[in-house]
Amino acid sequence: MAESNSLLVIIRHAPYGSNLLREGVDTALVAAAFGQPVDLLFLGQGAMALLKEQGSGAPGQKASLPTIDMLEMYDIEHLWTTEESLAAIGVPTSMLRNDVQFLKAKAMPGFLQQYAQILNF
Amino acid sequence: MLHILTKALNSDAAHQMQQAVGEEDIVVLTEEGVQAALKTHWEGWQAYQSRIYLLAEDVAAWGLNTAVTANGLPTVDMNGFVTLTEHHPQIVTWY
Amino acid sequence: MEYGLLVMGAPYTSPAPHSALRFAHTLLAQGHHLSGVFFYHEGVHNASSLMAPPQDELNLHDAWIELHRAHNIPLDVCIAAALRRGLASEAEALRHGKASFNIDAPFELTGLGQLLTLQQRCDRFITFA
Repeated sequence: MAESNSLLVIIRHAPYGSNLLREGVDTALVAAAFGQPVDLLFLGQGAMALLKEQGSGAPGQKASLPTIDMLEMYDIEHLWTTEESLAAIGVPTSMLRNDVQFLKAKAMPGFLQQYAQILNF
Repeated sequence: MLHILTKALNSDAAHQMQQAVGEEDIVVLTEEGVQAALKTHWEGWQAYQSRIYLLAEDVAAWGLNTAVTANGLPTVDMNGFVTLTEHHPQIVTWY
Repeated sequence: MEYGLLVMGAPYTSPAPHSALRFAHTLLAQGHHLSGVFFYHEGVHNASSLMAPPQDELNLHDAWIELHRAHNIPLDVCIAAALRRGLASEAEALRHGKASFNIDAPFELTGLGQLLTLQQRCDRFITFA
């Protein structure tokens, strides 16, 4: 993404551990609705949001999967994570949704520099 | 790019920040992050030499002035922190 | 330079609001301009006019208002994050059939679009969380 207003939203917190995932994804959706080019990067616990088998009615809380599914409707096509994040939480790629793209942690500094703006949740 | 770390070195935030810091990036340790003053063997002190700073006000609040002086670690005060942000258009906080 | 701040830490839970206030006063003292402060996530609690900390603790709500009065800094609060957490202006309280409200001027309830606009408009944008 080379556009001067490109935004990277980094998600580092798991779906039900806090509201950071939801509020981070909401920010990405609003940015996309305003026509801003947006990508998401899921790091560490945040990669738990990429599991395809997440329940739709998790214990008393609003499920996050439908929100993640909405990203595509808003033309947010790039959901990134790092191989190191998956290794750290013990998630094999077979458990992930199909639209995830992978990055090596050592490529992160260069990756971040592609974006005009970054928001870290 | 300027990275702000507000959590201790054993946090996910710290590990993720370390993966994100590029060769010309600056690191400022604030809030809980100033506990790094006690870990002189932390690889960041070597890896980010001359581009990492502890926020002086937080160091004092946490009672770490003596440790910082004894270990010869670099600090920056709030004025210096603002000046660092002037030189770095992109600023990311790890918390 | 134009600065913008995003505050996501709750008062008396996180040091983030204190750090943000110190940073704001310092940058203003250096002659920079602060375009606005946006409160999101747990940071929305900074806007509660009902906070009443003991007298030996800084009242963060009042400290933000003081910053606003001295420098005319907009204090924007994410409406969705606020309502979800029981923070409402008089108009929103009425709309939702609530008996009381706890958000008053100069704090303004606004949408997330305001956060993105602030980030794009500023030369420097810093998160305190």
